[in-house]
Amino acid sequence: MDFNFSQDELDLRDGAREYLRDRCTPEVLRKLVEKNSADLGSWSEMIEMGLVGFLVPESAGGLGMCNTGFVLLAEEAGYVASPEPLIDVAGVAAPILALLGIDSAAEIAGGTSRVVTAHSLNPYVNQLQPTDKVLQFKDDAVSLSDASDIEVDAAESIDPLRRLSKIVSAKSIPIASGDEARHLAAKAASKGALFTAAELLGLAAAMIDMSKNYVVERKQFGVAIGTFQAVKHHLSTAFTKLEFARPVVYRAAATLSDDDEHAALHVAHAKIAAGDAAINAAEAAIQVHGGIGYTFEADLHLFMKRVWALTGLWGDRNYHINKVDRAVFDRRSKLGPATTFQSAGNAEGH
Amino acid sequence: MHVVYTPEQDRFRQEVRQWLGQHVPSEPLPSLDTSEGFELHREWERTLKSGDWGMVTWPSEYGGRGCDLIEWLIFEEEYYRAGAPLRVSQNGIFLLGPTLMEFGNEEQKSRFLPPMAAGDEIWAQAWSEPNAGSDMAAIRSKATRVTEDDEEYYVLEGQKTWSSRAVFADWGFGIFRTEPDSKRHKGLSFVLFPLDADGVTIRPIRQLDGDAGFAEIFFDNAHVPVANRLGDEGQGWHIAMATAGFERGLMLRSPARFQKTAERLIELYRKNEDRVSPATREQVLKAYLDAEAYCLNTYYTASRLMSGGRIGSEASCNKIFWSELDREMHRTAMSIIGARAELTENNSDAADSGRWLDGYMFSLAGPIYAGTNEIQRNIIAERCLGLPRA
Repeated sequence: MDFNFSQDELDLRDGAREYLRDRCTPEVLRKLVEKNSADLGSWSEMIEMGLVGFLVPESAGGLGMCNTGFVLLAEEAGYVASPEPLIDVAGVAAPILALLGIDSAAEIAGGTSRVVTAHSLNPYVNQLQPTDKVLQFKDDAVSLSDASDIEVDAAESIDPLRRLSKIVSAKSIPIASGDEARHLAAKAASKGALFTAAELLGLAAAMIDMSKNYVVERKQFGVAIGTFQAVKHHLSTAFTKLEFARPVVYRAAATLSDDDEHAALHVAHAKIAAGDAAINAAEAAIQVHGGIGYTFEADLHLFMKRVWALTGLWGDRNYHINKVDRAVFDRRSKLGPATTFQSAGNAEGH
Repeated sequence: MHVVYTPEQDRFRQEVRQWLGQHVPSEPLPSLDTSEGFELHREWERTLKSGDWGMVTWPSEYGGRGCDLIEWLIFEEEYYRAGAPLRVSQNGIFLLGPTLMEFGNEEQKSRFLPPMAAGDEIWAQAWSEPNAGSDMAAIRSKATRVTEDDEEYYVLEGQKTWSSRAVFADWGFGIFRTEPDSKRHKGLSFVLFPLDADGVTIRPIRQLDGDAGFAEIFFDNAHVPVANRLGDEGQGWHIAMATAGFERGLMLRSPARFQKTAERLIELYRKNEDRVSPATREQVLKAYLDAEAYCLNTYYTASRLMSGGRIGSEASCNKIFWSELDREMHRTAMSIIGARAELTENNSDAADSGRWLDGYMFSLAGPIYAGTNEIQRNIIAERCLGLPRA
């Protein structure tokens, strides 16, 4: 039983944190919004840092890291509300392509191509650029297309830093079909949901931190509003929900890496817990910000709107609750104490 | 990160499971808040000791097995899985024990820990006073130092309240003002005293379920040797806060307890599935998920502590999470039971409902004892988030 991150994972997290918090500040995001742009332009830097090839094997030019490490990256990307499609490209497309032994994984890690993900769980593709490729999971097929061979309709998100496209038709190269495609689509969905959950943790933490800073500054009745118990309690509750969502996400990352038979259930729990924590943090944050939180003047809206988008992606709350429902009410399920983790004996089969 | 038990941990689990399977009483014991139930629970503590299961994390010289925190969690899982009795010694083994381990001298540790692990001495805590509840630093009970016949004593004066099971227990621990006229957190000391000492009077208080689980303790010229002080004179507040940390932190409520309740709730739901609303179904699922989250958080914290981390103010989050989860689960159960929810355990057709009712009443105490959840939320805001004090 080792429920700790490795030193390597923590070091990479620290490096990513330093870079992201310096590069993707709220001021920078605000300027993008003013320019009506969603292009941070940091993709090549993230390639250089190894963040894009994080899950690509070393033999293909990546860092060869695991889901547990990537979860920490996704948390950091969430914390700064980065608009870059890190999860879709580096978290989902790259490892799936690497699994298939397709060169694109190495190309993603090396930066010669960028592959975004389209999945039947998500109605839109985010941040599709003309030079991108699209890895598409649809029905019983997995295919790869050039963006230039795809016809899309643009859609507008309330989050000004998300750029949505709906695929209308595509000329694509099939890369898997039937059972294999279904298996890959499920794998992609698990990774997408897991890393999105981690991103939500980061967003929640950021909103709690910005609220904390605000209530220390803002004075009413002659004192900082952060001295008031009612204000404190909103933020303590949000903090508690976040603290208890984290290990749920980390466990799902660990069991997904091990191909544990219960990993899909763990991912569902992670997405629910992180989504609930993020929604709670967003509502607490706007409440303690008061009127200013309801405007573009405060940074909060960028984070809150991202939360609204992400809670619905890679399976919304109902989708994941139904998954948990099937598992919990299945009479064969083992419930109660001593069923949370696998024993050495049970895990040997994997 | 590899969240799978090792073969050694599996073997440990088997050993616990086997022993408990042979020793756990087949019928539930009467409430530990009654005198008969208390003695039967004390007997059970002695049985546990006979198998060296009194307090598995303690070193063997104090009656433990030197287990690490993961083994402790495994033990607790098996304990609740087996439906073993509540721990009547919990104030001692989970609160005072760890405090003694950190602040006690060698003499105190070897004097008090082994009988604590064996159930021979059961402890009650004596912190709150009528005018010092959430505001614990307002305590007024005094311990005045005197020398009589060449022996140094503290003379205890004052009143403590909400002392769980002080009516039946053997010893008490609490904080007293040792420095006359000192204010608030200063001038307090942590003192251990026998509950049958001259000058100590116990008045039972009937609690919500009707049992005399609580008591007031009156001190009138009660003498205890100065050697019964834990830590330095004046260090009482600091030590009490450490004890409170253990209480709110990992030890007092292990996740298995809530996973067992969630499991029973799922069973209860299944039996009544035809007549309850779909909203209830989601509440039941949420109970399962939150009990699981509490378990995961505990293992995560335990792993961190085992690799050198320390538990801090975030312990307050634990107490909020489990106490509100427990209330939620029992409220859901009460709503499923419906018209029979008022039936006490003494009714032949109450089935399991009496137990849920008892649990519901006890769950209402959770957000109050060990520091109200309002106080815990203040602690989180001030110490974890750095918000200013009022």
